[in-house]
Amino acid sequence: MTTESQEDQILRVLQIFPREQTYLLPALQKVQEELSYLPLWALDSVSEYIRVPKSEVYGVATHYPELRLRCPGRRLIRVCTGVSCRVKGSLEVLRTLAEDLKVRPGETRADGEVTLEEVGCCFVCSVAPVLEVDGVFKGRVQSLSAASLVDDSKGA
Amino acid sequence: MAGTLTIDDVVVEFLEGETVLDAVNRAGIYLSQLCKEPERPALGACRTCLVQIEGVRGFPASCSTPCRPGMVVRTHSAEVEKVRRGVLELTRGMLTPGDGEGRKNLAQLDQAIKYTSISPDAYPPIHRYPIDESKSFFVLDRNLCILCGRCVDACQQVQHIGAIALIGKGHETRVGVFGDHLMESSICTSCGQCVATCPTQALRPKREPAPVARRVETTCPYCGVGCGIVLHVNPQEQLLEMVEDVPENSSSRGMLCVKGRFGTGFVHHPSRLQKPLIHKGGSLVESSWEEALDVVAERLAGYRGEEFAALASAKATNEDGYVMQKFVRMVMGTNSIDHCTRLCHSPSVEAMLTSLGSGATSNSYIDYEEAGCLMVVGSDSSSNHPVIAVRFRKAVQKHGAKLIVVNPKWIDLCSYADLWLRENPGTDAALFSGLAKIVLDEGLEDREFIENRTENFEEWKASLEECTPRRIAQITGVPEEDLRAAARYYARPAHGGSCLIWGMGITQHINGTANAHALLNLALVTGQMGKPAGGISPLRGQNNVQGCGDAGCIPDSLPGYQLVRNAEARAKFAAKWEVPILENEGLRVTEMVEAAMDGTLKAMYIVGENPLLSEADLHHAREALSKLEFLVVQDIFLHETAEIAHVVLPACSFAEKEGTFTNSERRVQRVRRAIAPIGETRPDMDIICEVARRVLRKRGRAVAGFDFTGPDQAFSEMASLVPFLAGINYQRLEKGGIQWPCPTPDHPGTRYLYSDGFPRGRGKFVAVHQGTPADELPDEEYPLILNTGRILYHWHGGTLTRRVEGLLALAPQLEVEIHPNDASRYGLQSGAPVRLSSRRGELTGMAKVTVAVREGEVFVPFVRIEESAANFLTNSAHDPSSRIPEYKVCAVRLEPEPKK
Amino acid sequence: MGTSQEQWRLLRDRAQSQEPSGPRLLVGAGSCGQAVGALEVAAELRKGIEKLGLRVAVVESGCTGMCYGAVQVTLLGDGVPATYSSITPSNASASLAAILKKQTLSFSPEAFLWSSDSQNGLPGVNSIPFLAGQRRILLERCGLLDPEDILDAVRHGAYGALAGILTEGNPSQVIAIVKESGLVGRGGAYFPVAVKWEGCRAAPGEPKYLVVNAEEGEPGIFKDRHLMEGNPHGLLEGMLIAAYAAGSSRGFLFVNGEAKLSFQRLSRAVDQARSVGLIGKRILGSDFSFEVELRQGSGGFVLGEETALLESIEGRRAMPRVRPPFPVESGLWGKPTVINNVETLSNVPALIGQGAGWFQTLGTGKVHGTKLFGLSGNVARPGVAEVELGRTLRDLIFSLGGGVAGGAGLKAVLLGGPSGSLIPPQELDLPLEPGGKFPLGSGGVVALDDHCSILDIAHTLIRFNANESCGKCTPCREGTARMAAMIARLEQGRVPSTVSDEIENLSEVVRLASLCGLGQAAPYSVLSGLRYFPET
Ligand SMILES: Nc1nc2c(c(=O)[nH]1)N[C@H]1C(S)=C(S)[C@@H](COP(=O)(O)OP(=O)(O)OC[C@H]3O[C@@H](n4cnc5c(=O)[nH]c(N)nc54)[C@H](O)[C@@H]3O)O[C@H]1N2
Ligand SMILES: Nc1nc2c(c(=O)[nH]1)N[C@H]1C(S)=C(S)[C@@H](COP(=O)(O)OP(=O)(O)OC[C@H]3O[C@@H](n4cnc5c(=O)[nH]c(N)nc54)[C@H](O)[C@@H]3O)O[C@H]1N2
Ligand SMILES: Cc1cc2nc3c(=O)[nH]c(=O)nc-3n(C[C@H](O)[C@H](O)[C@H](O)COP(=O)(O)O)c2cc1C
Ligand code: SF4
Ligand code: SF4
Ligand code: SF4
Ligand code: SF4
Ligand code: SF4
Ligand code: FES
Ligand code: FES
Ligand SMILES: [Mo]
Repeated sequence: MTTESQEDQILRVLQIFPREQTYLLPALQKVQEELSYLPLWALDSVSEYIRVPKSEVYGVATHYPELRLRCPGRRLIRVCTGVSCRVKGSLEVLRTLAEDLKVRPGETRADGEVTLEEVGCCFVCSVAPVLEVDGVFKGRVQSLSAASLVDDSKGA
Repeated sequence: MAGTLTIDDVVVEFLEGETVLDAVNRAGIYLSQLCKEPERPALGACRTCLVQIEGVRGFPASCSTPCRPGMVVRTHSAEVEKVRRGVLELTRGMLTPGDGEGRKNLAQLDQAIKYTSISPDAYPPIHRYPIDESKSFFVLDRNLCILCGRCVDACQQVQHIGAIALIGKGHETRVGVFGDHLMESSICTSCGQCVATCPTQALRPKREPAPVARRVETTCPYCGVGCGIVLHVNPQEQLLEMVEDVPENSSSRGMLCVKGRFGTGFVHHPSRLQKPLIHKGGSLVESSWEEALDVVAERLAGYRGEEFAALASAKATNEDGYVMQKFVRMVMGTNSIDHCTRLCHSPSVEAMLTSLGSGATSNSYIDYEEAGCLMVVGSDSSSNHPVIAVRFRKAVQKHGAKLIVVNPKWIDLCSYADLWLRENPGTDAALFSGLAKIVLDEGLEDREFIENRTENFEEWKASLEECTPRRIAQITGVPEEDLRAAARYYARPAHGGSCLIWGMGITQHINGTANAHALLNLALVTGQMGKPAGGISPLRGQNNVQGCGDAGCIPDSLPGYQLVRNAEARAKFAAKWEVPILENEGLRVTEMVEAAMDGTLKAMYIVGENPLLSEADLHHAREALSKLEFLVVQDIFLHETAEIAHVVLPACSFAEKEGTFTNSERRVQRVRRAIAPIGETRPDMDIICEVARRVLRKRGRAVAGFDFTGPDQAFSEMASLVPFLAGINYQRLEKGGIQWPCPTPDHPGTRYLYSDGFPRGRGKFVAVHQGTPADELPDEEYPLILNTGRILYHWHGGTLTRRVEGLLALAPQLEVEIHPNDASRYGLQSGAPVRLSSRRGELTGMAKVTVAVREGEVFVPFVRIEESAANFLTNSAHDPSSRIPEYKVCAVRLEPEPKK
Repeated sequence: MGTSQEQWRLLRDRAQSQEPSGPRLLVGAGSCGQAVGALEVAAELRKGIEKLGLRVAVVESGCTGMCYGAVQVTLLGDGVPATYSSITPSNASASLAAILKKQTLSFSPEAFLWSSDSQNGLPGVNSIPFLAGQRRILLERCGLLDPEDILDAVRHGAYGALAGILTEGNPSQVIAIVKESGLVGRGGAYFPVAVKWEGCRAAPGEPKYLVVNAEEGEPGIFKDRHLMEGNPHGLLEGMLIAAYAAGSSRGFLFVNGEAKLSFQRLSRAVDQARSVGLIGKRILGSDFSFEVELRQGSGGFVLGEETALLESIEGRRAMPRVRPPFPVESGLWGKPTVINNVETLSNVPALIGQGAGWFQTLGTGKVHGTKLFGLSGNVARPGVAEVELGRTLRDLIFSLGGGVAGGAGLKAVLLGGPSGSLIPPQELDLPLEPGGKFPLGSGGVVALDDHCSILDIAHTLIRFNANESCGKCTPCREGTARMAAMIARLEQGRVPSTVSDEIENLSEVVRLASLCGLGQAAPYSVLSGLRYFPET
């Protein structure tokens, strides 16, 4: 079997949606799940499939904070800097991580290995401070163990 | 009236459904309202229209607060003023004045700021954006944008285009297009709806705004949609480039396309004909009207009957058309008058007259919006009837209508379609017979309609025997399941009815009339006619092609489709005009060319048509017309046909005269004079009358019948002879257009036809036969099929649109659309020059590689760019009954053209 | 087929007959629990059980709300359940024997029985301060049932109230009960629930929609997730009763995109409910039909605003609409639409089951029922608690929450997240009720100790609002950004004396002129910060 092109892969996964505007956000979510972000060409495919003009699709994709238009690093680390985490020391966690991982918050390291981001709240405030590592929450994170936490989950 | 409320101590009446802002505006109180487009629902974004209402907490936005009886509203109390000032300061803070150029006139925002003394520099500017100047008619300057959202609403919700959107979030929000690229990369059609609504000039025409001395409401001179426009005239008596839309116009509802919005500039083009020209010594030289008219009268007086023929103009008014055919019939003694409908919808009209007894669109534009299914066949509506296409998109996007596109070529509407039947060219007769067969096989027909309203059903049904889905799929290339789905969608719309809409893809074939019959049969068998939200629509092309036919500019009927064969009709006109009317039908356009070729036709009078770009096989047409002993052309430009004329008469454009146009939904609308005639030009009607009088005089006949005091009088005369126009007069038209039939002065006009009968009695099924798909099919020598048609930015041969700089800039090249597989076979890439040739001629253009066309087919619009025009290649073979040439199919050869 | 009541009884009988025999260990695996190792604890327990050759099922359940004690393990079996706090992957296996015998455990400081009496040295629930102060109605089953098994829920009585009204009631009766009870929404606006349902029912247009707002995007609160993770069928039952009352036949469950666990558990719950005839055509054999579709958000605080949510479902940017028209008249695709919060709907089964009279005994004379609060920040015992309306912040932070962690002093409480206020300690005794001096928001309570900088908190909150502003209206989009810039200047100490006044003026403009609740409430934290903490 020949390998499926990414375009074909996207067209295939879109088939589960009826071609109606109400499925625009679900379709974008699905594509992001497949590709880890939303490249412009994929937005184009969604536009064509869902039958919503490209610019509108782009307007939607740039509006929702969880939709990414740029490719994240292989590892995605997000540090909650909401009020509850902040008062429990999350800024310290963020600083340590930035130093250890050699990447500035909001950026992807040049080698594409890791992206470090701040996030407004992870909604598990009761176990602050909180990290999200590749989509998995880690609570009560001590600043010292932050880097190792990331390492831990690397193999997992 | 729904009640009264008090605004700033004044008692104001309000109507049902009105908002406080409506009432404030009516009371004449100034209140800023930056995000509110008068005809649109409130967006509630600018928050500058806040008011104080007794008993209501806070400061509600008046644009979204409904009036209630007894409300006590304050628009300028100190409290509300303070908040509004705060909002306006924040708004003002969004502007980034440009480098050195100072502040532009910010229109509504400036006004708001003026009224509310704010400190202009409360906040330092934040953003600086480069100005997007990529579109030809307007710029997007985000440094002046206050993110009111009106432009996006206009583009998405009014035009249903969605070229622009709000992008990003929070204070990073901006107006833009996909990928934050330039506007030109988007699907923007330059319709200008956004520019018209922008309150700050962030979107503004490139031509600087000028003072407006006069605003004149009239009707768009381009296409058959018939949009209302308001021309702006500056103190120098010149039209401004951008026109205003007319929300109250029932046909256009405030929408326009690029040509209507920005395309009227041809009126002032320096090459406008300004003086009569007479062919002398091998060239056309300027002359006085006296001399030119005399020459024309002198020469025309020498021809009559068979020797003379005329083409009327579907661009000119009803009155012009009426007078023209009267001149031809009454003075020249022939029925040989025709116009471009021959090259256009003559097969549709032919078929509809046979089957139904009337040749017009049965329903109205509003029905498209309400329909549950739209089947658009051989019509590229987004390019050619743009404002009708908006209605289609709205039906789909807002009301979930099913859209079926039938076209061998991808067109914009395919993006919105549920089904696209991509058939082999020229196989519509088979396709639609096949759909009818499926309808019958699956029991989807409308039994009651068939029984009560139609005839010849059984015979026709028997003729479908062989149209099995499998066979039809083979002939047309459309998969069986798509055929079935289409038949089901069309026969059983989820709501409303189904509209069958068609264009040149049906008619411009040697099978044109058969095709049209196949469509009508389907509409009849499913009963999709004679009701709201359903019907049949051959979309009329020219701004007044409907009216030109109504006025009698066709060789077989007098005004009002009263056949010359009909003695009663002849008698009626003979009585009015005091001359006998000839019984034998006149020549049709295509026959005129042949008659000129063989010398039986000796003289022609061509008004507002350009056969030497629009006829098929131009070399042949030119040869034929060159043989005429005398050719008068009356136009606004010296076009290809005028160049070979003996006399050229300069006519006024639509902006310089009064009259009426009738659009595709049978709506008669006023055309009004906005500016004085350019140069020495005269209105068509006046010229024709003058010619008529002079010919009569030369002939020694009584000089009567051509002394109208004005177009209104000509219209009255026509209305008195045409029952379906009898109730219409200029006075009534002041209040807006009226859709015929309108038999009496108190009749409101007619939204849809055939609600309880057809003019001929019963609707007739007509068995059709799918002949060979086209007269000339590809072979080894000429291996490709050439499909011709139009693009949004050009009008036919381009006589008008090439003279509008901004339109030409949007489509400067003659593009030859070609499939990627063919392109790679010829080693072509987009942008490469190519030469196309057929057995009749050749052209050069620029390749545009696209999957819009099928493999083996190329598409070229028939606009002339430099020396190239599609009609040098096309085939003049025609449909036997309507005589329409086969513009849509001929065989061509392609060669890469070495770069010069 | 029998009445709906009879059909439900059949279902309950089946559930009972299929009740698993033998003890079960429920691991509190809500998202907070999972963030501190609940899944690993469950794995260790399974390993240990296997090693010991026992027949004990380990189930990943919701949590009790005692996040401070996570990971918790609860033994279900004969007699009252026993819960053990502070189990970690490393001590899990070692704790097995004691748990199964309901004995005390040295490394689980809070272990207790879900009864009033103690036993074996395990105290009763009343001696656990975090629980003793609560009135647990919505939370009753959280942490004590398997959220992925509809039969477990039915055994606890789920869908009984629905069956009752389908059999004996009618929509207007439901509306009447809810009206009488005085139930108001719990999503932050505290609007009377019955008024919406009635309005929708009366409005012309079909289909009518019910949208469950499970977007919960207000930082500092996580109570809706808690309900969905712990007792999804409670929400579904409430949703069905609401739909029945409002005349709705189609619903959307719109879940925050980050709340993946809630989404998973709800999807399962919906599938299971559909498979036993509780969702779909002719529910429990009645004439009532209801279809529901799950949707996920993609972030953004404003998405929780009800009309922004509708826009999003329709496939557009989450930008609030103007009102009127209100969604009950013209909501999704212009059709009548009810939007209710998760907690609001989770109130409904008990209310319908036990009546308006009972409901009115909860709360104060003015407002009835309970409210969920999320405790976090510098509080000793963070978690989710349910108390009767009218209790005080002091109760929450000191009686339940155990005061400030680490013995520092309390500087302020942030109530209601980024739309809320910074409350000084002297105001802790005001009753917590809608319409009170400080808006409750949706119930986030963040304790801030002496070490916090109020300016930093205010700056964080206004920056959050500025980032989360949808960008539609000028005062919010521009105003919040300008406010953030001004506070940044304050923080940097470059303070012309007029800045506070400027901020206050601008705050008023933003509050009074903004289109939706986000902008209208955005200045509260800054205003209250400036007002109550002038020294900052
Ligand atoms: N911008 C612009 N607008 C115009 C005009 C203009 O020149 N420019 N002209 C006006 C006039 S006079 C007219 S008549 C209308 C014409 O408007 P349309 O009818 O839309 O005109 P065309 O572009 O010529 O052809 C329509 C479509 O027919 C398709 N077609 C070709 N062959 C077949 C076939 O065998 N079967 C089917 N089903 N389809 C086929 C072509 O691919 C093309 O997309 O437009 C009017 N509006
Ligand atoms: N290859 C190919 N050829 C085609 C077609 C096709 O699809 N493919 N389509 C055919 C169709 S449908 C049509 S309708 C024809 C159109 O063919 P034509 O009618 O010949 O085309 P236009 O260029 O619109 O010609 C109108 C003329 O009227 C002039 N004019 C404008 N306003 C006025 C006025 O007020 N008074 C006077 N006197 N003149 C005025 C303009 O300057 C212009 O010269 O082309 C046909 N030719
Ligand atoms: C910015 C903003 C965010 C909101 N977020 C939520 C939310 O996450 N969940 C919620 O139920 N309501 C939220 N609301 C309130 C909703 O608009 C709406 O009032 C509520 O869902 C109605 O349900 P209820 O009446 O059951 O409370 C929010 C409101 C605003 C202004
Ligand atoms: S997850 Fe962390 S805590 Fe919740 S507020 Fe938190 S901060 Fe935000
Ligand atoms: S000109 Fe028309 S198509 Fe282009 S952006 Fe404006 S509204 Fe949209
Ligand atoms: S460009 Fe004009 S119309 Fe569009 S949002 Fe900006 S100010 Fe409003
Ligand atoms: S749609 Fe036709 S009538 Fe309307 S503006 Fe465009 S060209 Fe003119
Ligand atoms: S207040 Fe803020 S969030 Fe709400 S509509 Fe306005 S900009 Fe959007
Ligand atoms: S006009 Fe009312 S908010 Fe803009
Ligand atoms: S998971 Fe921690 S509160 Fe429920
Ligand atoms: Mo035409």
